[in-house]
Amino acid sequence: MADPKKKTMFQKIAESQFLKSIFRTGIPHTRRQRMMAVLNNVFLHLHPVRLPKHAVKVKYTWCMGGLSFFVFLVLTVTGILLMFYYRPTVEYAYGDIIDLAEQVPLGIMREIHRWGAHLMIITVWLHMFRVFMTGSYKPPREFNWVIGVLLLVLTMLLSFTGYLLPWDQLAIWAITVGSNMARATPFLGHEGPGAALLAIGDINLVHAASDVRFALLGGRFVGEATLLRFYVLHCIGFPFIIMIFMVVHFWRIRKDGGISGPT
Amino acid sequence: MAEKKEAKQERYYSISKLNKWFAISSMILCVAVFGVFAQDYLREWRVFQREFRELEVEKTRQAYENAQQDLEQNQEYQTLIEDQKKASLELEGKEVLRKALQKDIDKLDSEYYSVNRRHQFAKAEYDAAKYRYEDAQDHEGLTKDIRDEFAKTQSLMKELKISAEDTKKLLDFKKEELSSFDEKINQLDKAKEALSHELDVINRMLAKIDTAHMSFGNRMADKFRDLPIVDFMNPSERIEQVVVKVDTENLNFMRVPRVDRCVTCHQGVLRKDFADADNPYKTHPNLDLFLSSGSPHPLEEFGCTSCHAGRGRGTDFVSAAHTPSSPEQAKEWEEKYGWHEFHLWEAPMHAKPHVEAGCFKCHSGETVLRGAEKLTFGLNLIERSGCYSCHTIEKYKGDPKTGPNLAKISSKTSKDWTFRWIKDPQAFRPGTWMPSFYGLSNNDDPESVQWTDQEIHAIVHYLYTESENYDMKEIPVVGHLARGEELVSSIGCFACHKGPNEDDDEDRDRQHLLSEFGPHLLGFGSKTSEKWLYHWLKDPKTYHPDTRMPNLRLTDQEAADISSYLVSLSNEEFMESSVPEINEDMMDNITHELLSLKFPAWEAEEKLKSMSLEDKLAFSGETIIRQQGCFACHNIPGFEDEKPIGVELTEEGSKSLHKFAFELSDIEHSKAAWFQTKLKHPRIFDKGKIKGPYEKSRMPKFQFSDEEIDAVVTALLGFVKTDPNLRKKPRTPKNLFVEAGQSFIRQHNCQGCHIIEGEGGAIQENIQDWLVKHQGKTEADAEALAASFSPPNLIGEGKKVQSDWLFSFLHEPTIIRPWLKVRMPTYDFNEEEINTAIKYFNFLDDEPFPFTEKIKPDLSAEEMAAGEKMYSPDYFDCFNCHIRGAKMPGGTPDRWAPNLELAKERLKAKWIIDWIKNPQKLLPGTKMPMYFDPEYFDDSGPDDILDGDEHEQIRVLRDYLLVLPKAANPSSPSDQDG
Amino acid sequence: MDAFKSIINSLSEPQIMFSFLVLVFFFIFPPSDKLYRIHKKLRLDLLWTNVGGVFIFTGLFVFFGLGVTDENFRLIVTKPDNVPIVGLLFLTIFFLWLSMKQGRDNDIRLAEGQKPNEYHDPEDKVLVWPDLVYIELIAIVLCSILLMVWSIYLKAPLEGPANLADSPNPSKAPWYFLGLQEMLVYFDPWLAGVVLPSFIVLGLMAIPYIDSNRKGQGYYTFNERKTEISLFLFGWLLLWVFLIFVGTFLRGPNWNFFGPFEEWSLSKVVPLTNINLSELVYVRWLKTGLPDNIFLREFFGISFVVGYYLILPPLLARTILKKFYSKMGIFAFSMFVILLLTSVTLPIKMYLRWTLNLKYIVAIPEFFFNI
Repeated sequence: MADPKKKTMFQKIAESQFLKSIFRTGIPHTRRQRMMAVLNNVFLHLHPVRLPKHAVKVKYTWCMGGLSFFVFLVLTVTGILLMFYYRPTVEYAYGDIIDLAEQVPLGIMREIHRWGAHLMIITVWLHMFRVFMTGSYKPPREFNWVIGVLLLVLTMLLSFTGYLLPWDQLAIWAITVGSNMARATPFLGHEGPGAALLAIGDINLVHAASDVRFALLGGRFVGEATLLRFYVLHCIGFPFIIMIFMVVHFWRIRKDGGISGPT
Repeated sequence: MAEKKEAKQERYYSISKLNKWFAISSMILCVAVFGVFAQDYLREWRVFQREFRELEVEKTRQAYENAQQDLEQNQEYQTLIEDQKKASLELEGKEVLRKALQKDIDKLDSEYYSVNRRHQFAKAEYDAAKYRYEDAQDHEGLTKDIRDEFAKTQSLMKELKISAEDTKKLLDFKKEELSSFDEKINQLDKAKEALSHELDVINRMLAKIDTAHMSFGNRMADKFRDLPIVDFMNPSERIEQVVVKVDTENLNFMRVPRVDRCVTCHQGVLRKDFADADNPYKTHPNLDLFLSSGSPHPLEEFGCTSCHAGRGRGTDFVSAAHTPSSPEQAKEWEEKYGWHEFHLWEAPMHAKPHVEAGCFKCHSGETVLRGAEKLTFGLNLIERSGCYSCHTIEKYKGDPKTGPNLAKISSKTSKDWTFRWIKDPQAFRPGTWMPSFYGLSNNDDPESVQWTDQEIHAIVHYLYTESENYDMKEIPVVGHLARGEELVSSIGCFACHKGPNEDDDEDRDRQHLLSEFGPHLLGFGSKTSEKWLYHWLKDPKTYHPDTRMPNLRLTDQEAADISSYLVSLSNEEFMESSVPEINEDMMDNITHELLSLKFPAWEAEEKLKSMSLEDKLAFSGETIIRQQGCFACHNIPGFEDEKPIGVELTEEGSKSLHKFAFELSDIEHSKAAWFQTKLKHPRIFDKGKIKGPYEKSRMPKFQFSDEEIDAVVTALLGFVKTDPNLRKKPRTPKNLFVEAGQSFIRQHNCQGCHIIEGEGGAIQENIQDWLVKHQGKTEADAEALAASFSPPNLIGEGKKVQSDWLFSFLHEPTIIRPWLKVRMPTYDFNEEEINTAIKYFNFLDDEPFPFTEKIKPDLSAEEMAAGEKMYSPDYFDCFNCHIRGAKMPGGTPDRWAPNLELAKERLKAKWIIDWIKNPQKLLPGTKMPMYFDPEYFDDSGPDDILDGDEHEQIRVLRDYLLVLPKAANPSSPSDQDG
Repeated sequence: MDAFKSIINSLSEPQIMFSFLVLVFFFIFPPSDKLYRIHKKLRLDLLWTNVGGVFIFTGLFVFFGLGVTDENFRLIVTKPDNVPIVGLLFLTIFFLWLSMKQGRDNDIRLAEGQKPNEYHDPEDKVLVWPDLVYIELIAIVLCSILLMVWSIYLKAPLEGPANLADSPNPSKAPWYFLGLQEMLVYFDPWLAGVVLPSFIVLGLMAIPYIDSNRKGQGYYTFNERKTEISLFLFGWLLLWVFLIFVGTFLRGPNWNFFGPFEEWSLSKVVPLTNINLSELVYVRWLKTGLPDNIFLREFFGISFVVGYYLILPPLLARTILKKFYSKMGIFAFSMFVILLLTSVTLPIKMYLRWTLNLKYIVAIPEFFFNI
C-alpha cells in the first residue's frame, strides 16, 4: 500500500472545509464519530444514537413504519410535480390526466403517485399488524397506538380524496358510492336515522342541501365543487394534518422509550 | 485496536454483507431509473417521427436530384454557365487595372475616414460655440471672444464639410468604376440564381434535415437536441397539436377543448409530395376541400377529430382510438401496432367506410351534401323508407308519413289482399318500401306463424271496420288499354314510379331513388278496382288530402285509359296464396294475452268472456296496431295522436356503446356493427331469449342491400350530440334558403323530372323508351332526342325567370313547351311552399331577391326595324324554332323551342342578354344556336345592322322581344297544327 | 379442469367460504386454552414452521398460477387497480406466517424457561450508524425499485370521462373501503357506512386500554396472548381483509356474487326476496297482518336489539367471560363486550340473511332507521 500519511483524493475532498462545514463529523470511522453523525444530523436525529440489537432486525421490525414514511415522502414529491400539470376543474381535469399519460415527459410520476398511494395503505396496515403482533401498543405506548390509528384513517382519507381527481368514471363513481354512505349518517345525513327529528316546527334542518354529505361534496352530487374540495383536502388539508400527527408519532416513539422490546 | 473491537461489539450486521446488498440494489435502481426514462424515449410517435424524417430526407434528396437533372438539361442554364466562364476569363485580363483601382479606393477610403472624422469633431465644436453664442445673447450679452469663436468654428466646420464631401464623391466614383468590371458577371449570377432557385430551396431544406448535408455544428446540435432532459428546449421530435376552434369535445354535459395530436404521427397530411406514402405519413385526400389553409376546413381551425372523431389527445396508435375498416385490417393492426379497441373512449374514430358520418354534425341542414355521397345516400334512404316515422329524428321533424292513408282502405282493396300484403309485402311488390313484420327470425316458427296469422286477421278486421266511405261515381267513359299504356309512359308517371316492366334487382343509387318515390306500378288488377284508380288519378286529394301524388289534370278519357291499363296488370300468384281461416281458439288466446297486459288476470278473464268474436278481433286489431306502430307510417283512424314507438335517433351516434344490447350475439362490439346487424337482421338480438309474443323486438325488415345498409349506418353514426356553439355551415340567408329549398324539392321529387343543381331528370331514361316504343325512333335517335322531350333542366332558373311569373306558374302551371307530352302537374302548393321554391332558385343563383329591376324598353324606329330584321328569316330566323303565341313553327316538334311571346313576363331581362350572347354557357347542350361567337365576339354579328355593334344588336334583340307585340303578327288558329 | 373450477366457484360462495373460514379460524388461532390444546393436538402449529410456510405458499402459488390460465380469473386479478390487492393477499399471508412463526419459536423458548429470541443484553446495544441507517437506506432503495418497476409495467388506470348519468355496473368504492361496501349487503348505509366504521376506528384505538394482559410486549408470541391475537385477527382477517377480497374479486354486476372462474355476466339474476323480522314474526309465524303501530310492529326487533346489548353483557360477564370481567373491571369490560358484540353483528346478520332471508331486524323506513 502507498504511504498511509499521504491522503487520497477522496480523503482530501471529504476533509475539505466546505464539506466539514456541512458534515461536521467527517467520514465516521470511530465510535464517537458515528454517534456524532447521528446526533448532528437533523434527519438522523429522529433515531437514538444506540439501539437494542433486536431493533435493527428486519425480521422483527419489517421496516414497515419507515417505509410508510418514505412512501409518504415519495408521494409528496410526485404530488407536487403533478400539481404543475393538473388543474382541478371539471373542464380540464380529465384532459390533464390524459396529457400526463400521452404527452408530458416523465408522466410516469402519475403511476408512481397512484401505486405509491396503494403501497402506503398496505405498508401502514402491515405496520399496524406488526405493532399488534409484538404487543407494542402496551403501556407506555398506548397513546402512540391511538395516534397510529388516526394516521391510518388519515392515510385512507388522503387516498380517498385523491381518488376523485382524475375525474374519470372510476373516480366519480367510487366517490359517489363512498359518499352516498354519508347521507345516511345518523342525525347529520338527510337519509340518516334521526335526521327527521332535527326540525323546528315544520322546518327540517337537515335536508339534501344541508347535510353532512352536502358539506363533503359541496353539492348534492359529485361535481365541480367536490373536485375543488377534494383537491384542496388532498393537497393541503390532509397532508398538513397527517404531518402534524406524524411528528407527534415519531416524537412519541422516542419519548416512550424507543422501539418496544422484551425486557 | 481497542476502538475497532469496541465498534465490532456494537454491530449487528456485517458491514460487507450490507455493502453487497446495497451495491446490488443500487444497480437495480439504476436500471429501473433507466427504464423510467427509456419508456419516455421509446414511444411510438417518436419512432414514427424518425421514420417520417428518413422518408422526408429520401424524398428531398430525390427532389434535389431531379431538380439538378432538370437544371443540367436546361439549355439556358448551361449557356449562362458558359457565359459566366467567358466573363470571368475576360475579367482576369483586366486584373492589373483592377488592382490599381482597388489601391486607389483603399487610399481614398482612409482619407475620407479621417476627413469625415475631423468634420464631426469640428461640428461638435461649432454646436457648442453656437450654444454659448445664443446663451450669451440672451443673458450677459455677447463679447468679442464669443463672436470670434463662433465664427472660427463655423468656418472650420464648413471647410471640412466640403472637403469630406469631395473625397466621398471621388470614392464613390472609383467604386462604381470597379463594380462595372463585375457587372456582367453579377448579372449572370442573378440570372443563374433565378433558374436554380428551386434547387437552392431544396438544398437549404436538406441542410436542415439531412445529416449528410449539415454543418458539423448542426450535426452535433441535431444529436444533442433530442437527448433526454435537454429535450425540453428545442427538440426535433416533439408532440404537435392543434387546439380545435370550431368544435369542443363532449365529455358528458361538459364541453372540453379538443386537442388534436394526430399530426404528431400523421406528419405528411398537408404535404402534397406524400400522396403515395404509406400511412401514417400519407397526404390527406382532397386538400382543396380539407386542411389546407385556404380550404373551407383548415387544419388549424378544424383539427382532425372534429370530423373523424377519435381521441385526439392520444399519442399512440391504440390510445388515439383508431377504428379498423374491416376484420382483416383489425388483424393487421393487431400484429403491427398491438391494436385493440380503446373501449374507454365513447367516440372512437369513424372507420374509413363511414368516414362521411363526420360531416353531418355541421352540415345537418343540407339535403344533398356534395362530396359525401354515401352519407347523402344514407340520408335519402332514411327519408324514403321513413325511419323517422317510428324513430324521431330532429332533421326530419314534420316530414309527412311515408305510407299510404288507410282511412278509406275498404274502397281501395279487399280484406284478402290486405291480409296477404301485411303477411308478405315482398310477394306482391318485390322491393317495396313497406317493410316485413312477419316471417322474420323471431316469428317464423310454425307456432308463431299460426299466432301471427290470426293477428293479421285482427289488424285487417280493425282497418276495414274503421274504414270511412269513399264516394265513387261510375266512370263516364270507356277506357282504352293501349292508349292508357302510352299515356303512362309519356305523361310523366315514371318520374316517380317504376314501370311494370322494370326489374327490381338493380342496385339502387341516389338517382334510382328518385323514380322510386311512388310505388312500383305493378299488379293493380289484383289489388284494386278500375273505378278506384279512375278517381284516384282524376284527383288524388279527394282520397287522401295529404298525398304527395300530384294532379296531372287528366281528362276523363285519359284517366279512364290509364286506369284500364293499370288494372290489366295483375299478380295471380300472389292472390293464389292461401289465407287461413280465422281461428277462434287462437283469437281467444291472443285477446287474452293482450288483455292481461292491461288488466289484472281476473278482469282479463271476465272481459274475454264478455266479448264476441267481432269484439275480440276489433280489440286485438287495435292493440296490435298500437303495439306494432303501424300508425307511424299510415294514417289510421283512431290513432291520430299516437306517439311513435321507436327509440329517438337524433343523437344515436353519441349513445354509449354499452347501452346497445348485444345480448347473446357474437358480433363485433361496435356501434357500426350493431347498426349493420340490426338493419340486416332486425330481430337477431332475440335469438336464444325466451320472450312472450309481445315482448319480442318489433323492428321490421327493410329490403336494404349491403351497400344501402352501409350508407344508412354512416348516417346513423353521424347523428351525434352536438355542441350548441358548434360552428355549423355558416347560417347565411343563402344557405338557409337553399337548404329549405332542397328539402322542398326532395319532398316533391322535383328531380324526378327536372335536373336541378346538376342532379335528377330520372325520367329521361323512360322518355327514351317512350320515343322508341311509341314514336318509332331508333335507339340512337331516341338518346339524342330524349333531352328535347324531357322536362327542362332548371340550371340557372333563378337568373332566368322572373319571380312573379314563377309564383303564378307554380300556382297553376301553364304550357310553355307545347310539344312536350310530359306534364308539369298541379300541386296545390300553398304560398309558403311556393315562396320557399322561389327563394331557393334566386338565392342559389345569387340573384337579388325579391325586387329586381324591370327594363322598360324604349326602342327608336330604327332600332325597331333592326330588331324586326334580325328576327326575320334573313338573319337569325328566330321563329323557325320558337313558338310565337299560338303559332307553331314548322318542322317536327323536336326542333321546337319555347313560346317567345311569354318572354316578357317570364324571363329576366339581364338573362336574355346573357342567353343570346352565349346560350351554351348557361345551358350546356342546348339546341339554341350561338349567333355571337364569344371567341371572335366583335366580328360575330351581322355588319349591316346597327353599325355592326354586337352589344347594341343584342340589346335590341332583347328589347324587341320585350315589346314583341301580339298584334304584330296576326296569327290565326289555322296556323296551328300538330 | 372445468369441473374443478365449478367446484371452486361454488365453494367460494360467501355462505360456504365464510362458514368454513370461521370454523377453521378458531382452530388455527385458538382463543382459549381448550381450543389451544386441540390446536396443538391437531398439530396445526406446524403451519408456522418453514415447512408449513412452504406448504402455504406452494398452495397459494399453485392456485394463482393455475388460476390465471382462466380468462375470467385473469381478467379480474390483472386489472391494474386490483393488483395491489393481490399483493396485499400475499403480503398479509406472508407476514402472518412470519409473525406466527416467530411467535411459535418464542413460545417454545418461553416454555423451556428461556428468554424470547428478541432478547439481548440491554447493555449490548448497536450504533444507529451504520447498522440501522444502512438497512434503512437499502429498504428505501428496494422500495423505490418496486415502485418504479410497478409503474413501468402497469399503467395507472384511466377510464372514460366522468359521467353521473351513466353508472358503471358494478360501481365500486376504492378497494380499501370495499369491506364497508360489502357490509352494505347486510346493513343499511347508516350502519355499514357510518356507525360500524366509527366502531372500527374507536375499537382499534381502544385496544391498548382494553387489553390488560401485560405479557408479550416487544416480542412475537401467541401462547401468551391467545385471546387478543385471536380476536384481533378475526376482525382484521375475516371481517376486513376477507370482505375486501370478496368485494373486489367476487362481486360483479348488480353486486351479484361471482365465483373466481365465473364470467361477469350483466344478465345474471339472483332471486332477492328478503323479509324483515316483523314480517317473519307476524306473517309467517303468527299468520296475521302487520300491526299499524310502528312500535308494536317492531317490538320483537327492538327487544332483540336491546336485549342483545343490555342483557348479553352482564350474562357474559357471569358466564364465559368471567375471567375477563374480573381482570378488566367494569368499564374496560363493558367497552370490550360492546365492541365484541358489535363486531359479531356482522356474521350474525350474514347468517340470518343466508338462512332466513332476513333483511332487517328492526325496520322503520319511516325514520330511515333499519337494523
